[in-house]
Amino acid sequence: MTSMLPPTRDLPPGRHPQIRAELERAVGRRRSRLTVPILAAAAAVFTVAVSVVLLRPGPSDPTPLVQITPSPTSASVDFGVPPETVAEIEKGCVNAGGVGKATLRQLVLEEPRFALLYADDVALRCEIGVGAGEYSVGSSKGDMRWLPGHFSVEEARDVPGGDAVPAPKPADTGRRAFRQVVGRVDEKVARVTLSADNQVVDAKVVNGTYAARIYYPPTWRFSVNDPAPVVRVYDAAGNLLGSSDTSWQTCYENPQTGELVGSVRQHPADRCQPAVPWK
Amino acid sequence: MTTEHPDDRALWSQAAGGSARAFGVLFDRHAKAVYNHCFRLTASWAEAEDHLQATFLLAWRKRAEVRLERASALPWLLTVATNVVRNGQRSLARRLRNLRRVGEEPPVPDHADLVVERLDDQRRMAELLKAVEKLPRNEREALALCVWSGVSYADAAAVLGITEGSVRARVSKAKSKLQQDRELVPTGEDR
Repeated sequence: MTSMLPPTRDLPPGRHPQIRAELERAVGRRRSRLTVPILAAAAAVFTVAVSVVLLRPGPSDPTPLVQITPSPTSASVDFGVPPETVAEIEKGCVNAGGVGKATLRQLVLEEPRFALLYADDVALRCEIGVGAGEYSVGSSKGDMRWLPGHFSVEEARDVPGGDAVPAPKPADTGRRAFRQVVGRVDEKVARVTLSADNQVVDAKVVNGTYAARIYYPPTWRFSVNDPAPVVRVYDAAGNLLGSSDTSWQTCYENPQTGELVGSVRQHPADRCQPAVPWK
Repeated sequence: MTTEHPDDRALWSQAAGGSARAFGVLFDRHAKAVYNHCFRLTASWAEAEDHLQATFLLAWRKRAEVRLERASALPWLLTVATNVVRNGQRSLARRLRNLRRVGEEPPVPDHADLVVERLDDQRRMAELLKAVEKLPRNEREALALCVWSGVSYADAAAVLGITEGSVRARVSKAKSKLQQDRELVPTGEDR
C-alpha cells in the first residue's frame, strides 16, 4: 500500500488546446457540421432532470410522423415480443454495457429499436441494430432506487435524419430524424408528454418508465439555441406533477444519506427535498 | 469587464451571456485542476481527459442556471466533475472525440518516460481508491474534494449546500475510519 498521492500533472502535450478548441466549437453560436451531433451527444448523457437542450427552431414546421400512445403501467409487461426476444435483448444490452445484470423496463419497437434497462446502480440506454454492433449502450451511473421528484429524464436526445448530411451513408439514407426522451416515473404518474416544435406527444408509460419520440423527415437536422423539448408528467386526474423546464429549480437528496439525487445543487443555499423511492 | 484578468465571477457572467471566449478563459484557468481531480476519482488519465471535457460541457449547459457566489469557479467545477464521474458521463466526451475531424489530431511525441510515469500514477491511484472505496460516498468525495484537491471547507460547504461543520465531519469521519483500518491514505493537507 502506498501513501503518496500521485503528482499533479498537465494534460498530455497538445491536448489542452485541442480540448479547448473542441469545447469552443461545441459551445459556439455559429453552426458547424459538428455542432448538432455534439449537442445531440450532450443531450444523450443528460441524466439529470433538467433537460435544458439548446436547439434552434428549424426552417419549417416539423411533422410528427408517429405518436406513441400511452400504455398502462404494469409490473409484468408485455413488450410486444416473445419472452425469448426479451431475454436476448437483456443479454445483449447487459453485455454491451459491461454490467453484471439489468432488467428490461422499456422497449421501443419503432426503428431504430431502443431498450431501457435498470439495475440498482445503473441505467442502460440501449440502441438495437444501430452502428457496427447489434447493441450500442450508453450508461448512467447513480442510485436508481431514488427519483428526483416524480420523474427523471435519463436521456433527451436529438438524432438528425439520414439524409441531413451532405454525403449520407447508404445505410442511413431515408432514416427519419427524431427527438427522443426516456426516463423514470413514480407510481403517481399516469401520463407523460413530450413537447417540442409546437407538437405534443404522449409517451409510452410502462413499468415505471416512459419513452417518447417525435419523428421528422429524413432531411431534418436539429439546430442549436432552440427552446428545449419539455417533458411533463401528470397524475391520473390530469394534474401536472412536474415539468422538465422547471424541475432544475429543485434539488433532491436521498433522505437516508443526504446525497444528492439526479442533479447538482443550483445554489449553495438550496434546501433539497427528499427524493422519491423508485421500484 | 475591462480588467486584464477578470475574476471568475466576471467571466462566468460573460459566459452566461453566451461568451464562448470567457468560457475558454475559465477552461484555461481550471482545466488542470479539474483534470487532476478527475484522475483522483478514476485512477485513469485517459478517463480524466474525457471527464474534463464532459465537465466543462455540462458547466456550459448549466451556465445560466448557476449563480457563482464565490470568487473562484473551481469548487463548483470540481463538484460538477465529481457528479460527471459518478454518473459515468464519459461517453459524452468519447463521442466528441469520435466526432473529431480527420487530420485534426496533432502529433504527440512518444516520451517513454512520461508514459511509464503516468502508468505508475495510475497504479498508485488505484491502490488509494481501493483503500477508500469502503467509505460512504459522501465521505469519500469530501476527502477527494477537500484533502486531495485542496478545496477549503468553506468553499466545499458552499457548493455542496451543507454547513462547513458537515464538511469537516465528513472528512474527519473518513480520516478516522482510514486510520482505524490502518489505510495509508493521504489525509493531512486539508484546510
